[in-house]
Amino acid sequence: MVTSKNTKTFKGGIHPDLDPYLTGNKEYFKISPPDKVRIPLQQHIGAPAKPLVKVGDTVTVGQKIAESTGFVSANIHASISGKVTAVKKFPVAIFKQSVCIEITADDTDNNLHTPKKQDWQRLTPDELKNRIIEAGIVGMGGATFPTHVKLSPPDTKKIDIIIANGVECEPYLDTDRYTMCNFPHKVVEGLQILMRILNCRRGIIGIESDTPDAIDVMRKTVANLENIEVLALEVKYPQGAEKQLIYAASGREVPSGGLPMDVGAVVNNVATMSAVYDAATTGKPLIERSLTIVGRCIAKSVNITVPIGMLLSDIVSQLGGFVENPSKIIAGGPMMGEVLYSLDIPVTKGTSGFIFQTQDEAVTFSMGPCIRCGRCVDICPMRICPAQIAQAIEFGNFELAKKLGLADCIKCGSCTYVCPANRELVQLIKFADQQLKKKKGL
Amino acid sequence: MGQIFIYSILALGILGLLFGLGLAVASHIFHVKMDKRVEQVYKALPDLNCGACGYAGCKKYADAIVNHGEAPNLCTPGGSECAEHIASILGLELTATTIRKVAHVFCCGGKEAKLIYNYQGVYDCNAAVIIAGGPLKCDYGCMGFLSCLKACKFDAIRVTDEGMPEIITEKCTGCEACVKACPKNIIRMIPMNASVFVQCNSRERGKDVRDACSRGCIGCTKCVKECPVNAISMDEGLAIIDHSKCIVCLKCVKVCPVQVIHHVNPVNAKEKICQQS
Repeated sequence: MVTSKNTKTFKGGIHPDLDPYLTGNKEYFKISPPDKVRIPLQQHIGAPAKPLVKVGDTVTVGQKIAESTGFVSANIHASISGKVTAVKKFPVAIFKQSVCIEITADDTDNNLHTPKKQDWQRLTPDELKNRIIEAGIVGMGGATFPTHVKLSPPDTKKIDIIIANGVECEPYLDTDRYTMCNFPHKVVEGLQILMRILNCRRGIIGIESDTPDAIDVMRKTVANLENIEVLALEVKYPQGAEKQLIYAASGREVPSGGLPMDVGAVVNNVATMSAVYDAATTGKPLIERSLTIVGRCIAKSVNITVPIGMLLSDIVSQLGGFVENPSKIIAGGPMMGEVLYSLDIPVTKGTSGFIFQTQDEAVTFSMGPCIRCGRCVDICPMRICPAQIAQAIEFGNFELAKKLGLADCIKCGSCTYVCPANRELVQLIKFADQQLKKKKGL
Repeated sequence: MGQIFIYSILALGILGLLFGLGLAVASHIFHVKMDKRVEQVYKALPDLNCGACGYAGCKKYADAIVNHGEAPNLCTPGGSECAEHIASILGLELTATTIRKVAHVFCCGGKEAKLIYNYQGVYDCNAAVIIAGGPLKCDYGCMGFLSCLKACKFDAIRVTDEGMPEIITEKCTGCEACVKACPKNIIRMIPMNASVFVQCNSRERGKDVRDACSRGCIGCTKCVKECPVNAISMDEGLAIIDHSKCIVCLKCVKVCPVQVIHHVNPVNAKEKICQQS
């Protein structure tokens, strides 16, 4: 692990105890297109999209099959050509079930035909933004916030710094490095497109210093550009979280309850930058994404690029199945990911990876009482006091929890990781969040 | 020496007199007219402060009845006897007597309900539903993390051998705290004299219900056809009994192919109210 005094970082954070077998660079594996995809209508934060197709319709790859239903919403496109065979509820990650459009492939051409490449520099900022909206691009780091919303700050807020997030959001994942090493031009030009839309003069690409190859490639790519800088950041979790990255890169602290645009910053994942470039030059919609498959119980730990909506079971069978029965499957990273109960889960725009854990790796424990050691307070990257909040929640005092800064929690899981009493701090906070929302709704 | 005593007694005595006069004047100026009826109504209420009437406590409710014309029959724990008492204090006439309502758990899945994963985490139903809607395959079933038990202030919920909550009708005051605590809306209010229940809450199709649990209503509508008084209706694949029509003929209990309609001996509603007062 490379840590030097030159690398910037944020306050707090942890160095998780990682399995060396699963960390590090993964190879790329080419996945052949699946026979069937299930594309959820809710793949982003905000209102679910409205379906434009019905059962029996024939769709071609790249066709818009669902349109956004509000400002904070996103379009959804077909990722393979074929026939719509169902529009109904299927199991998905996070929710138990959600409405998906199922497309079964037929013999038609499965290649996306996009118009000829256009020079994006000739397009006006508004035209560029419309292309991003049309392509249905959302944040691909995991939070799936529609990108065009970030690009529409109110007039009172001037954005003067755009950060490309090249820090893997979580341990074991390797997709950002893959994107940067293989498509550095797309990332840089995507960043330039966003800078043009927001009329911003400074761009930063933040990369953790344990991926020196990505840093080298990006430094070479931006060598001739004055206004873009590549920053090597300390290897620490959660370095890839938006607010922590802004602090590390610019020293600005997002106020409690505020958004990055309050301090004049916009953060986007490098994969989003690459998708922005594709959308701006060729109008290619967001229909595929790269992700990492990792685990001791799966035949290969690899990076793959798959069409949105491809089922995890198809991916697993193409990779050669399991060598051992997995005990726990996580969508996303090991710290914040959501556990899955089925393999028939589709890949969505925000899926950055799947982790398979064996019986030994999947930790089981029961929650003990707080011993007031204060470790969670030391490492909390948001500088709140998780132990105190969790105690308030245990006693059902959600209002007190709110006063103590419940809303500031980014649910990174660092406190639960370090807690010697095995307290389920993050789940308690999520629980309180949900209860407060419910109260508001009533 | 003796003078000191006299002076200090005099000084304190005069001060005390002045303050006393001040208080007397203030008590006249700031006199609050109390309605004696509020006190009387408050005494007639059971003073459980359960909140079932929708007010912050019995005192607030008593005030609302007397001063804001609120209906006198909203107190569930007090029941009709309490309502009659309040009506007689205020000289009101009760138009309809209500049968008191109690909570009931509409699920009998227990160990038969299939799991999709093993849940390890905060032991609370509302926390468990965050992860894919809870560990049960059935979206409507009781997970048994007993949030209702924690919510009940009257010790009216016990746990069965299968880890399911069960309402002790005799103790239930009808405050609906458990109804609000249940994230799956399994607990509903029923009239206290009801005795026949469809012990399932699943509105799924029959096949999906069968896949998830062997003790679920499959929506076959046999009971609807069998009922001589049309007391059973279907709500999206779930039979629901209208207890105001039910004559407890038990034909539905016999005809149900999945034995999900249960008959339990009703508690005498009248008797219970006497016990309380």
